[in-house]
Amino acid sequence: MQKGSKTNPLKRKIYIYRKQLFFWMKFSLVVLYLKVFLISVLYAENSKGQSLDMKLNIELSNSSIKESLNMLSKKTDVSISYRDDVIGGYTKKVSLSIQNKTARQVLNQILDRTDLVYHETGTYVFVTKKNQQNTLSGVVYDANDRSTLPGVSIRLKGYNTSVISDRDGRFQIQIPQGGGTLTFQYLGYLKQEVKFDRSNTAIQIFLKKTSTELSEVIVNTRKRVATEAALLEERRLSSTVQDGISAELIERTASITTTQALQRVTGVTVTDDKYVAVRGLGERSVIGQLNGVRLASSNPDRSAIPLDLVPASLLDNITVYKTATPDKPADAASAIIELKTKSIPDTITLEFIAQTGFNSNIGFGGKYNSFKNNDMGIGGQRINKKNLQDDFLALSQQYPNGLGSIQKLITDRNYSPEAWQEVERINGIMQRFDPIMTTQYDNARPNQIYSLTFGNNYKGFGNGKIGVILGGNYYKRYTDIREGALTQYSVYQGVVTGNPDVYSHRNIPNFITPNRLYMGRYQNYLENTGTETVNYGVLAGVAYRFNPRHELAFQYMGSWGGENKAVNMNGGYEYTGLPGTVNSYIYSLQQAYRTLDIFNFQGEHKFGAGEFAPRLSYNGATSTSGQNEPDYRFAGLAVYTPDAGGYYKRPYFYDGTTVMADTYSEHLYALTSGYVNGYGTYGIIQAEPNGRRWRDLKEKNYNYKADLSFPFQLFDGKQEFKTGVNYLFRDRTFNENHMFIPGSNFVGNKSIPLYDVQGDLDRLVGPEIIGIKPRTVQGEGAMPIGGFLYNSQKSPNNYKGYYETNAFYGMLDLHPSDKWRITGGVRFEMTNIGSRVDTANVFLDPGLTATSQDGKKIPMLLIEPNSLYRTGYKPFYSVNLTYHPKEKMNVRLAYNSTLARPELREITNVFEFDAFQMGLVIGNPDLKNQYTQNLDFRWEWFPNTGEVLAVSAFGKQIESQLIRVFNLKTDGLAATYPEFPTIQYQNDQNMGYVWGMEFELVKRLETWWPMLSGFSLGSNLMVAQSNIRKSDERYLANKSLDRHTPKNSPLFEQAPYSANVWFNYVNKKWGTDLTTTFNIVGERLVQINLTGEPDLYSRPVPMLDFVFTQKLYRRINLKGFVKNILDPAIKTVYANPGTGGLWYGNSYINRSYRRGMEVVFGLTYNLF
Amino acid sequence: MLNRNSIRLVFVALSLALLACKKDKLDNIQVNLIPKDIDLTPSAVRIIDLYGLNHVKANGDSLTNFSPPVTGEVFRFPATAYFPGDGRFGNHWWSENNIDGKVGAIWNIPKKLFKQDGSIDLEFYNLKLNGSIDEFAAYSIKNSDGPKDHYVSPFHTYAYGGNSYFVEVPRETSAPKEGHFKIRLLNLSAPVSTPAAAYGQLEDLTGPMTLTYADGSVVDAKTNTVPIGKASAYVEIPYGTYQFKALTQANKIVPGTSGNMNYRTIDPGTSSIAISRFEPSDVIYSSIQTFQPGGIYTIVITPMSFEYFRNELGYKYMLKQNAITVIADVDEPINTSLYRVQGFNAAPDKKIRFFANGKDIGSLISFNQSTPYSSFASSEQTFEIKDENGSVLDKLTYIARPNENYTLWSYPDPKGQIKIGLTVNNLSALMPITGIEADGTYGYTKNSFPTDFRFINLCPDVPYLSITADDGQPVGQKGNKAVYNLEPGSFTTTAPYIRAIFKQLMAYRSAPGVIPGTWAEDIPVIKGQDLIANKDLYQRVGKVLPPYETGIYTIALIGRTGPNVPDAQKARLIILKHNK
Repeated sequence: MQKGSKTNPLKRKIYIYRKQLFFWMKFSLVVLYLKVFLISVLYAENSKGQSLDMKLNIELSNSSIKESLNMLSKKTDVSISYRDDVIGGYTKKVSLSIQNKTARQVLNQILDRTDLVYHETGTYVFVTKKNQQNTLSGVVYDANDRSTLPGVSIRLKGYNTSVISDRDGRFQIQIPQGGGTLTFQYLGYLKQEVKFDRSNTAIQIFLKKTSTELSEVIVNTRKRVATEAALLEERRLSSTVQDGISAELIERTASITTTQALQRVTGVTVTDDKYVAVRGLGERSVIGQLNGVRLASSNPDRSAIPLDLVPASLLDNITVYKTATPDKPADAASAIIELKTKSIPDTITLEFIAQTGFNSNIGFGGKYNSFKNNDMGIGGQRINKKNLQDDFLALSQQYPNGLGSIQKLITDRNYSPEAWQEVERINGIMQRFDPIMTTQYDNARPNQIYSLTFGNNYKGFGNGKIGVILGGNYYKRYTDIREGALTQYSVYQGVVTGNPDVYSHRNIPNFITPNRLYMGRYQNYLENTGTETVNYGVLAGVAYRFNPRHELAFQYMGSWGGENKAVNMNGGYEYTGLPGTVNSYIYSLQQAYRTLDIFNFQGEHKFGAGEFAPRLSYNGATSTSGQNEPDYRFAGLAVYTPDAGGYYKRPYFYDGTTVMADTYSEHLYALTSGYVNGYGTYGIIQAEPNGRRWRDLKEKNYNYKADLSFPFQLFDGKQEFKTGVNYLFRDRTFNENHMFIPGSNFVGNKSIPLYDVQGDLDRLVGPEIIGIKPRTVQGEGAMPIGGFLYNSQKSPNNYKGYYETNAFYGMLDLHPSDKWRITGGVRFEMTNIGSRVDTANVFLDPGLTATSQDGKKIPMLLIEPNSLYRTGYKPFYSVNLTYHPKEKMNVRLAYNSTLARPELREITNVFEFDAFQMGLVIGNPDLKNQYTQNLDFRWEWFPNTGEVLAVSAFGKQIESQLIRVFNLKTDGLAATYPEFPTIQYQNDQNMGYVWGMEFELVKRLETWWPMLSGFSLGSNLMVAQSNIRKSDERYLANKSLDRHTPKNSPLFEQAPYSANVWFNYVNKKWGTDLTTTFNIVGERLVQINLTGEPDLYSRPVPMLDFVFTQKLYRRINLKGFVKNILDPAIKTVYANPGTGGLWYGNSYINRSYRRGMEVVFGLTYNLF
Repeated sequence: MLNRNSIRLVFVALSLALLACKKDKLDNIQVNLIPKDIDLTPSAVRIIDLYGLNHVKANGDSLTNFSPPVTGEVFRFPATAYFPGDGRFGNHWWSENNIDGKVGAIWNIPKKLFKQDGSIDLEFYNLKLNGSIDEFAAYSIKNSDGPKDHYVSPFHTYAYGGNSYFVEVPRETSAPKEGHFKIRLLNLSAPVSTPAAAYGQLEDLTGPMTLTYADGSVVDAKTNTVPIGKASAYVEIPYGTYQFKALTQANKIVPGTSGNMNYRTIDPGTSSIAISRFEPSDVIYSSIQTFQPGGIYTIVITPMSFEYFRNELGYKYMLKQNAITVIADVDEPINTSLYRVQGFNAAPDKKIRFFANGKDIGSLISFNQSTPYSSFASSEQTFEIKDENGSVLDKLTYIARPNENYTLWSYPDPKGQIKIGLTVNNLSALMPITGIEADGTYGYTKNSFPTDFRFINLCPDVPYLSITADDGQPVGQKGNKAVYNLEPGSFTTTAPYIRAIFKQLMAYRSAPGVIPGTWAEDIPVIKGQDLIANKDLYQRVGKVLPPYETGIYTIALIGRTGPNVPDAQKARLIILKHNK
């Protein structure tokens, strides 16, 4: 072709214009951020009146108030107004000699010890008499230790007015002129009624505890620990090292999902918005519990807790237990994340929240990357409509010899009406699949969040009491990454696509030597990813207390959600060595529907009265979870445009036979696919990223446990012995279908269909190629020509499995003296994990199967479809020592041993290609449990309610650590097709170590400086060091390029530090609550490369959020947040650890994208 | 308290919401198509190049790539906008690598190429292997409102000294009547070069020509004896599958041309397909094809390229001989409405009439006779057979589909009741390839010169019939339902066609598990030459009878067996040829 230039000047202009437009749009957003900030600052400053803050010198000698005010007014430009009859009645004489103080301070001194107050409006100041007749304020204390009590419900008898004491126990309530009765109610305390009349302006209330035991008998749901102060109180009293976040802070940080809330907790890091690591130990070492019951995992590949399914607004708090006690599962090597659902309020509560917003990458009413026919319905349920239908699946039974027999049927269609009907039916089934493989921008609706919470308690039979809580939550969010950068660096260059037409032999450029460490760009992409997420959940809880000794509770939690994710990557190969460009276009269209249903039944019983009565608590839960991913489509198309055009082989029909002939094409196409070396019967496994996949995981989870405690008297105090059992059984089914698409290197006609559609991937899966070919001119009675048919056989990756763990324990909780507490014991746990891979009627590549004489396929046998791992009861020990040097101070020391088990998927002998990780995820039936020993030290001080100062140190020794290994057996320079790595879990042969420190400070700033009334500061910092010797294989791989590569490495996904800071301002008078939070996590090793390139590290990302609440009307609040204000680039780099993300002085960025700032605002309405 | 501050905050929030601008995002669409910025809207003028000029310039501008032909295994030519396939106009040379058999081209001149004055200056080239010009022709033609063809052929070169390559022929584009197509004969035959006598004398195939069907019967008076250099008028013929032939005045059959290497290798003396240097097959090639309803065709006779064996080792030389080529004068329409049906009477003692939805299919026919084809609009049909008194003997309903071809059979069941049966015929010569899995797009072959058979059993006295080839040789794989254990009145519905050439076909009495069984000596053997419909076509010009005649056939066992069966009703294999 002589025609056609490569760059269109008009397109370039548009591109430049768009770039400029984006710049100004970004700029205008920056201006807007500034506006928000400045106005909120103004808003805080404005009413103070500039001039009252003016400094002045003033001399007053025995002046009346009126004289003094006049003098002050003269000295400043402030007009001070007053009514003579109001200030005339005061006899106070003022004598002052003030140098360089503010007018405000002077005014305060003038009005000191009078009941006069001033109000400011602009530059006017009005002096009036205090009007306190309608307000009563006070503080609630614990009668025992005189500590203030937050969260006490205060009700005005006979009126529908109630308030709750704040974190300092303070409250203010509007009262009628004629006086009345206030009721004070707080869980675990005796209800108290106080009469008052108009002479009362401030009162102090002392509440008495009902009994010392009762607070321990309370079922979790009933314990109100929704405030930070309450959570800290619980933490202070606990025997273990724990951290957490309360509903109060969840709300203040505007966390929608549980993972977002968790990011605020000391030592917690969250990956991909989904996976949680505590103190650097990954998802495996962290288990999730909901009200004491283990959460099921809904991810087929990762042992992750589906935390993002649990709406944060239904939570009362999240507690992270960092040291273990024998009554808790021993397989939480680093932490147990305990989610406590909302408690039953003491008074009727009905709250409604509606919020809306947008992501700045999208803008208001902007666009996000998606695809046609993406409608998931309001609740995501339409995603299930894309499930494989029964008639399609039945084809694999009807035609057990595969598609060949259907093709034969098609060519015989004409000869009988039955065949005709059947062929039409099959054709309809084949052409029914969505003919979409590419992404497309779609209009985003605004993000939406709705939440409704209701709670109350009612009188039951006799003395019984019933508490009810109902919550509902719905959110829909859109995010979009636009033109993120994705670069694969390599020492190798060349083009390998699996298709010989788009190929350039692999080579290492001669400028790369061990003396000149350098890597070249292999493939370079711009990434566009859009997601649409819908999640909704309900929570229903009923608790029935027969009497203070017996209580039963039941909770149901359901959570459902859908997600659409569309990824488009445009780019190409950089140094091809070919005369022309090789572009690459990658599309991924993914929809997922997830469900979680948890039924939880609890009972708490105390047998007999008195302090030493034994207690029983038990818990039975079943849960089902599911993750359905229908029609996940992936295509990676390489397009080679040779400068002078190219040629490919195409079949030509000529008279009597068919011949492959060289055919000209301006572009040469390949759907990139390759092999994984070293596995399978033939030592090689096909890896076809392209295709349509259906994956469905279902898991049932049964968890029963019972704890029995026997208090007894010893050392003049109450001691306790506790024992219990735990039974957990998980039952999982995983089904997968993988359908190749036309153009695949593993399908008979290979890339030819791509030429038929000129590289248009949508047409590739349209009726032009799929199903029976439309008739062009053919002879009379010609048989139909069967085009591409989808294969309906299951993939070889279907499995069923179970996971059983039983445990029993005994422990002592001793208080040898007032200052000491020691908790410890032993827990025995067993493991029984098994799985079976389904080898019947699965799809096997015709190229790799033998066909018997009667046309049947002889299957390729898996080496071993069954996996089993069993251990007997093994002991795990824990000791927690707590010393109280002062009443509000703890010093803790803890030791425990824990285990981590392989996940079901990890031991199951399946080989599944994961297009996102670009590797073959393989099972390892030889996996065994990981064993960890932990040592913890913590000093913590709770100077005031809601304040904490803590310093911790921890160390872990990890034996047989379960690590994710990327392995690649490569032909190196001789490779002619893409070689994909395997991703497999292995037990590290070397011992791993982590040690580190944590610092935490939560402080109300007014205790330091009264001017900062309303401000508080919270911060935590974790610093850790981890170390493991690289395996020989890993070391040699690194060394092949870098002869100075270190022999040791940090642990996988272990961050050297993480820091959180939040800054909160509350102004009760204005009904304002402003919070700014900042979070940063240090670099983490995220991928171990065995290909010679350095490992991949994620770079620290500073996250700055701003959250505000403004009371608009009595029951209506305006709420909103701006998250990720800095919107930094999120980067993954090829690097050596601790080098600031560099490798020998150069920066090699693997991936870089911006998530966008998220802006949300809305209203909350409290009915009571 | 809706104070000023909260209003301000609401304002800020709203302004933030409204001002945060919409991101303008464009889809990333790959542009992979060859630029179509050239207006290729065709004019009514076509160049029909039967000579094989491979490059063209229009008004001095190259439209083709002007790459010389390359020898060797790889033939790669860059495409051009005007010729997006391979950037060449025609193709003048034959070789083993020229697998598509492409000679010449039909080129609809784009409207835009005509100059303001309505003319176009064309230059045609043949390039040598070294890129130098081998042949050159310049020609200026006028645009025309009516459809017009310019035939480029060796006609003038050989016949009249080569002043011009071009013959201007107007063509028709108006549709024929429903269910018919138009066809005419264009005689551009010319004297051709003669190979050395040692290789045999070339037949003289020049002079006025007559268009005939496969059996040599004339098509129409209008297409008889068409003089050299002239085109006949178009005649309208019912659509269907035909093997047209052209006969010289001496009744010699003019061969056809094909890209198929075997078919284009002829014996110079007989113009039949050559088997070796010394062995003609006596089978003269001419294509069998479906002429679509609404189609318009020209059969042109002009010297075309052939090959002949130069020695015993199979080396070949080229020669030119007059040959017939079928040119579509309009784009071939796709038949979406009509089907064809015929009747065959296999009821030994009955005269039968066949009906489709009450309409006659042919007339009353006796035993062992077939009706001609009738075409009807496709829909659900009730096919009936009636005896000569008009009483319905049997009927069946069937959804008749467009482009299909059916044969209705009347035959006796074991009780002597007359039944109706239906077979679906495949006249397309498309044959599936075995071993196709996911993608069947290229899972077939097609042939312009097929000899396809299907076998049916309509004799109630032979419960299982198996057919064998020469001397009892098996046909196809074990258990092939097309030839083994054929049951009376039940027709094979999976792969019923056998493509093979037999000297003879024999009937066997078999049984499930016993194949081929016992030869049925009472049933006469069919010989290959029994397929020749009109032996006189060869014999009258003194030619050797070919061993068989190409076509699409049904071989049916009809009649009765047994001692009391009269000779006329005795069981026999009959040959029903479906193409004409």
